[in-house]
Amino acid sequence: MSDLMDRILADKAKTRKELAALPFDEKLTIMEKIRERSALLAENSLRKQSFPTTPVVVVSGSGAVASGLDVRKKE
Amino acid sequence: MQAGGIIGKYAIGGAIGASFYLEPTSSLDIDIFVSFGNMRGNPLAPLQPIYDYLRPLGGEPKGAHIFLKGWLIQFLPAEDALHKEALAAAVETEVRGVKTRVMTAEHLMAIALKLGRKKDEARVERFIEVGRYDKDKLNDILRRYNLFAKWKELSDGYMRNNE
Repeated sequence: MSDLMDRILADKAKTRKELAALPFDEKLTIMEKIRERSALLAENSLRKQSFPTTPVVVVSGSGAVASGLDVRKKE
Repeated sequence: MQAGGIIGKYAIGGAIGASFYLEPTSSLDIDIFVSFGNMRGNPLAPLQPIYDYLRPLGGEPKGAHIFLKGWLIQFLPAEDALHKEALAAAVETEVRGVKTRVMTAEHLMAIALKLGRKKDEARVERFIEVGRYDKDKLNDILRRYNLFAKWKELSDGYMRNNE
């Protein structure tokens, strides 16, 4: 890992410690804001996007099992 | 609710319980662990008195949760010995002027280790990083509930990854 990335991670850890040391009432205010942002993000179209699944037959040993997951072939 | 005999001992646990000790985090709901022993009401529907009590206060049942003042709350039974001990040892605190009880950091860590999902392990790692727990108390709980091996594996892994 680069020195820059090390510094960034160390800084994140420091911030987490500082936030952990806040009084709970202040944390609660932050959590309420986080929750509001999460609700906004949940409305984003990417969150609602559905991904197609391909029906598959998994072959294993002498038997074959139908499944709705990705196509895989097992040894 | 406790004073009215609606619930017995209770304590906030889960992610919100952990956030009393750790950085604030996003959580779907507030987990409140409750002792249902010696409570009034139907033993087959132990949550009903809670819902009945909270409905006039604006509580709205939503599946396994009750939605109250912008928060989804889930009441969970403290069924096993570890959860019962966590309720007994919970600490009283105040949130916005309201008294409440929250599990100790050590019990939250032990319960997370016992659950053992990725998100629980991540929570234990955050406790290790922040260091806001009593090592002796934690070791005592972990040994009594046979969780020490899990703890060692996780904490050693954390140390290796953060050298």
